[in-house]
Amino acid sequence: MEFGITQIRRIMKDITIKSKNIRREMIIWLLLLGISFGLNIYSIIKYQSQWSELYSSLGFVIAISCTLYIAIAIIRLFYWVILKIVRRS
Amino acid sequence: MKGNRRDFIKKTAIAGAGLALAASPFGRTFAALASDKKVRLAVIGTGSRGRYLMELLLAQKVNPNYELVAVCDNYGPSLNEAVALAKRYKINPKTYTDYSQLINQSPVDGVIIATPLHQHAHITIDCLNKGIHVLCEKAMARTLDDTKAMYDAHINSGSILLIGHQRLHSNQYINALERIHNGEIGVIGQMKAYWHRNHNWRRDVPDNQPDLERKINWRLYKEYSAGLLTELMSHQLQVANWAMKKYPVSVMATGSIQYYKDGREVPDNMAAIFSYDDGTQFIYDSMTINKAEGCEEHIIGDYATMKLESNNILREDPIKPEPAPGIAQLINDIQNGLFKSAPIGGSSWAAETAVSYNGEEIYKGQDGDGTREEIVHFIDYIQQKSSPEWMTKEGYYTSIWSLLTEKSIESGERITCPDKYLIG
Repeated sequence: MEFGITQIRRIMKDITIKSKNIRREMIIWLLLLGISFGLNIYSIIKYQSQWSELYSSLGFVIAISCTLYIAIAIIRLFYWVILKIVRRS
Repeated sequence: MKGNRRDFIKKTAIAGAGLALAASPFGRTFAALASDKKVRLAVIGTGSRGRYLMELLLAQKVNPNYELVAVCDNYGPSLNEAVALAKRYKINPKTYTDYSQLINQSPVDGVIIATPLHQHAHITIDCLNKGIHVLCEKAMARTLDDTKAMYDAHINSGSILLIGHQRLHSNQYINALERIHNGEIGVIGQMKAYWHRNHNWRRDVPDNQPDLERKINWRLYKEYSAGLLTELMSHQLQVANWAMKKYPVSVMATGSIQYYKDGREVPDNMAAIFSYDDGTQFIYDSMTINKAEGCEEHIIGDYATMKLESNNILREDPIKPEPAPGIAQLINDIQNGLFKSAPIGGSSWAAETAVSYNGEEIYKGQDGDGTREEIVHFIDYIQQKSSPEWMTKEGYYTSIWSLLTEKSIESGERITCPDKYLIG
C-alpha cells in the first residue's frame, strides 16, 4: 500500500486548544488550589500549628493542588475513553 | 509539667557544660603556667602502662613546665624501652632499678607510680614521707591495711596523693557528672556497669625465662592483684561513687575461674551488687570470654539514663523535634490511615522491650579517656601545692570497696566496711 503525503495529512490533524478549554482547565485547577488551601487551614487548626504556615506552606498547597489535578485528569481520561468505546458500540 | 521538665533539662544541660569547664582543673592549668619553676618528675614502673603515661606526659603541650628527670624499673627490658622512648623526645633521664635510690639521689617533686599493684603501698608511702607528690595508678594497694596506710601517709605528710582514676579528669565525664548532680537524669534508682573482654589477659613470657611468669602476669595472681576487681571494676565503681556522691554500705559478690583454667588464681568472671544507704544499687559484672557488650556504665534515673562510656543520654521523655507543618502532618496521617495494616488479633500483654530511641550525645570534644588531662592536672596540682581532697577520697574508697568485694567473693557473704577503714 502506498503511504504518501495525502495519507499522512489525513492522519495528522491540526490540534487546536481552544481558549474555552484553557479557561475550563484553569478553573478546575483554581478550584483544587482553593480546596488545598482549605485543607491547609483545616490542618493548622487540627494540629494547632502556626498560622504563618498559611504562606510558609504554600509550596505544599500548590503541590497538593497539582497532584489532585493530575489525579482528576487521569479519571477524566478514563471516563472519556470509556465514553468513546460505549458510543462506538 | 512535661514542658517544665524539658526546660529544666535544657537549662541544666547548658549550665552543666559551663560548670564543667569552669570547674575543670584543666582550665586552671593556664593560671599555673605563670610559675617558671619546672616540676621535676620521675616515673617508677615503666611497663606498658608506665610507658603509656610517660608518652602522654612527653607528648602533651598544655603544661610544658616540667622535666622528666628519672625513670625506674627493676625489669631491664621495660627500663630500656622507657629510655628509648625518652630519647625519641630528645631527653635523657637518669635510670634506676631501685626506687629508693631514685628518691634518695634524684631531686624530684613528683613521681608517677605504675608498678604492679602490690608494690604501690610501700613506694607511695616512702615517696610521700619524703615530701614527694604521688600520682599512683589505681587501685591504691593490694590490702586494706596498705590502702589505709597510704591515705594516712598522705594526710600526715601533706603531700599530694592522686590515684589514677582518669575518668575524674575527662571533660566528658566531668560534664556528665555535673549534669547528673544538677538533676538532669532525676533521682538515681540504680546503676549498672560491666567490662566484658574476650582475652585471656596474659602477656608473653620469654621462652627461656619461665620464672618471669608471675612477674609479667602479675594481674593473674592473688599475691599481686585482685584481678578484675582492682584492675577493671575499680574504674567503674569510682564512677558510680562519683555519681552518688557517696560510698556503698555493703557488697555481695561472686566470682570464679570458670574458663581459663591455666594456673591463674584470680576469677575470670565475677558479679557484684553494691548497696548505698538510700537503697540505690550498683550492679556490676565482668568477664573475659565475650566482648559483645564491651565496657559501659549506666546511671539510671527517673528522667533519663546516662551511658557514660558511649557518651549517650536516653531520656524517658525525649525532647521532641520541631513538628512538621500541619499540612505535612495531615498528609502523613492520611497516608498512615490508608496504608497501615489492620490488626486482627494480638497478645494482651507484652514485656517491655528496650526502647529503640538512640538517645543524644552527652558531650562533644573529649579526646581520649582523661589520662592525658590527669597527668597535666598532676603537674598543675604540684605547682599549686594542693589537689582536690575529694579525688583522693574517691581513690581511697574505691580501693577499699574493690578489696571488700574480693572478701565477699571469698566468703560468700554480704560484706560491710569495717569502721577502722572509714575516713572522714
